[in-house]
Amino acid sequence: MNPNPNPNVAPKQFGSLVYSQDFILNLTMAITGKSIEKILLENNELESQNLIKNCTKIMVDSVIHFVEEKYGKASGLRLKACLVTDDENIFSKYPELENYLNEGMNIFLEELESTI
Amino acid sequence: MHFGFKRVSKVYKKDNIESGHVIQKSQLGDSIPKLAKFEISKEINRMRDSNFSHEVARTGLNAMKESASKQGGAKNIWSGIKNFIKKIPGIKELDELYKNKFMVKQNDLENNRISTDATSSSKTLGMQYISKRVINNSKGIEEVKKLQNSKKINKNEGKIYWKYLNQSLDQEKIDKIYSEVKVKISNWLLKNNLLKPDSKIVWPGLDILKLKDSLIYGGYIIEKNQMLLNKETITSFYDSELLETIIHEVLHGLSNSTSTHYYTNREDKDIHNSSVKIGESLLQGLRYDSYKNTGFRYNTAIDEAIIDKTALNIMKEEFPKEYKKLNMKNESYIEEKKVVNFLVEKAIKKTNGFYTGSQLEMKFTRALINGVQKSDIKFIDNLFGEGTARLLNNFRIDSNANILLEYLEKTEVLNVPTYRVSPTRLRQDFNRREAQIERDQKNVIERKTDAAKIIVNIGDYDVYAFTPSWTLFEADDLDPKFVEINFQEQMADNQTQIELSGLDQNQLPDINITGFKTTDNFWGRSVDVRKFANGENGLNQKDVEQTKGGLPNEILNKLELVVKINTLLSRYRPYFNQRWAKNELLNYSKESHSYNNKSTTIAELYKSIKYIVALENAKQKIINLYNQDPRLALVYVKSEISWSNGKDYLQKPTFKNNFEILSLQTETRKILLNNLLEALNFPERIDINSDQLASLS
Repeated sequence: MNPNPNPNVAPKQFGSLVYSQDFILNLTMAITGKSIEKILLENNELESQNLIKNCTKIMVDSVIHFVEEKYGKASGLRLKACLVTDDENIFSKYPELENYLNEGMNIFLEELESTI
Repeated sequence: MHFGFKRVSKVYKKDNIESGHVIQKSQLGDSIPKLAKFEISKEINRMRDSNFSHEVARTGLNAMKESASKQGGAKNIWSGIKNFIKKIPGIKELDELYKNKFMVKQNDLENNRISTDATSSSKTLGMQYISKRVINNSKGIEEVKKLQNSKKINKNEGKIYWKYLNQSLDQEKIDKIYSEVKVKISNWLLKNNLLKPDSKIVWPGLDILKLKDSLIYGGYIIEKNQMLLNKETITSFYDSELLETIIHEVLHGLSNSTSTHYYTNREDKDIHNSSVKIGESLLQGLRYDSYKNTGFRYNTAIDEAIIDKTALNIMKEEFPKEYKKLNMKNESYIEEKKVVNFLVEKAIKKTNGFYTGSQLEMKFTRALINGVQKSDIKFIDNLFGEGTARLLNNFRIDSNANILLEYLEKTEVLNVPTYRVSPTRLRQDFNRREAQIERDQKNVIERKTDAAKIIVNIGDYDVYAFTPSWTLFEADDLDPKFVEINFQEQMADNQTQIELSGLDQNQLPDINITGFKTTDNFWGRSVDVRKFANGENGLNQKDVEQTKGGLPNEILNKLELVVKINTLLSRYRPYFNQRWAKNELLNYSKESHSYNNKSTTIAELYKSIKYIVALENAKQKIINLYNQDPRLALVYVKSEISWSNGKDYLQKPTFKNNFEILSLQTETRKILLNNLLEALNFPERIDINSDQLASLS
């Protein structure tokens, strides 16, 4: 029995995780211009991990930087807090964050596109 | 690695500051500032090499766009990437910061829930200090001025300044500075035996927020509960100058780091400058805190007060009595300061940085205030020429400093280049020796084998020793009349044994089985093989069984360790007054620790190299006791060593748990102790019978 009949839809309980993993791998591809397989083949495990982490950090820093500059330090910190705390309700407490985040992400993607 | 965004932010602000422009949110427009964009591209480009494929990158980007545009896409991604993000150094700390402090404060700030108590005088210093020294952007200064004019400030409002400090010193840098300060303070405490080696420091006072507070309050008010270290540690020496010394050390450590490890790029330089800035603020805060709490007047605090008129004004306002006293002394302090500064400046040049500014300052200040100490006469004369100490002593502080300085300059006493110690030369000397050791070792075939055979010829007799897990050397420069060593790689088995030929056990001579020394006493410890072999003087039946023809692995390992400790000591001992020597020793211990993890005990013992400095101190005491009565030395060593699991005889921080010699039998302990004492260069072995030892246990 196929536990996930529709491959295009991520399992519900792991939705964000699957999303983000794919996203991060795609991000690494977009930044480095190499397929994940190639990255794994060319580097050892640690180096590959570091590469992926660095790409992620570039994106995160970029988005947070944007939000801080445009919407203030507090919003930037709250976005960071989503990443380091277990508090899942930050977006509920500060609904405007979601828009800030989308905006920041779009700006980042635009910027990334301009480099390709 | 670093990323450009923070730097971008700084550049961006700087441009605006230079044009006297205050950044407003609305002026940022809808996109990232151009400079920032450029920097992001730069970071991205750093991740690329010649194998970059546009096609692959485009595929990745399209997939990302798709994910991000889905309902809740960006939000889900953001929440989901925490597993990755948490592995990025530096970001974890944000958790606590956020949960404990910042969220509340930020909310308070945003909601303008700020106390309007205007009675506290701290506002003046807080504002002035920050606007003068710390806030370095126009926005902050504007805001500070606005607050100054509003006259609705108390010290709690100081926290609002943090908002701007936070912008001028970004989080990453502060984190780095913070960890740097922590490491330096820990090391200093350990070095001076003020901290138990295995204890963890609680850092409530040196929390990053406390550092911030010390900046916020202009380095002036640090509340009683915001001490540098945890209360337990601090209470015992808070009244002394120790705390101040620690901070001095931190400051000097930070400033001294300039010439060695730092300043490799602009960012490091910024970090260094920020460190010093924070250190200064912290120091000043502590000085005043001490002043306030203990009434103890630090010279340095007074110096600062003289230099910093603002601080002096605050003192006048808040501590009128002390201020009055201080003011009376002002003139003489200024005079003293002039001379001391002059001498320190000259001395630093003359000693080529061998002594830190604070060390010199202490000596000269002492000379001027209390008269030159006997121990300093030679130092000062050696430094500046014969008769200078007497000169300083005679002038003292009641004389006019200008006259003294004029005199010193005219007579050119200070220009006599007599100082002989050069750290560079010491370093060269050390390097030369190390190179020699390396060259010697190249002539030696190093073999690491599970079982090697040593053939020792003594007179007409051959002794074969099979030692497990040892690094053995075939050396040409062995003392021929003592031992001769060969190796045979192909061993039938790898059991520990000593085979004897032409010699019965009772006739065994003392054989230095580790005596295959190369140079410089490299492997120079000895083991009495006979005693191991015949069970005499110590080993019980079980041990004898184990050591039939050889030594138990455990003992071999420990002996190897002791040898290594001694080797390290002998190599570094001549340079022990050099900071780099101690640092290298510590680094070596770290490497050794990870290299040799054969057993927990060994690992623990390796760690003990870290406390080699303490060992050096203890050694002197052991030797003194030994000269009185060897048993006293034994008692001392025993009391300093943890002899059984969980049972510490002394709670002294220095040695507690340094040497964990666990679950070994009494006689084995005795052997180890003897070897330890040997490692400490004892003139001869301690020989106490089992009963005596047992009575001491």
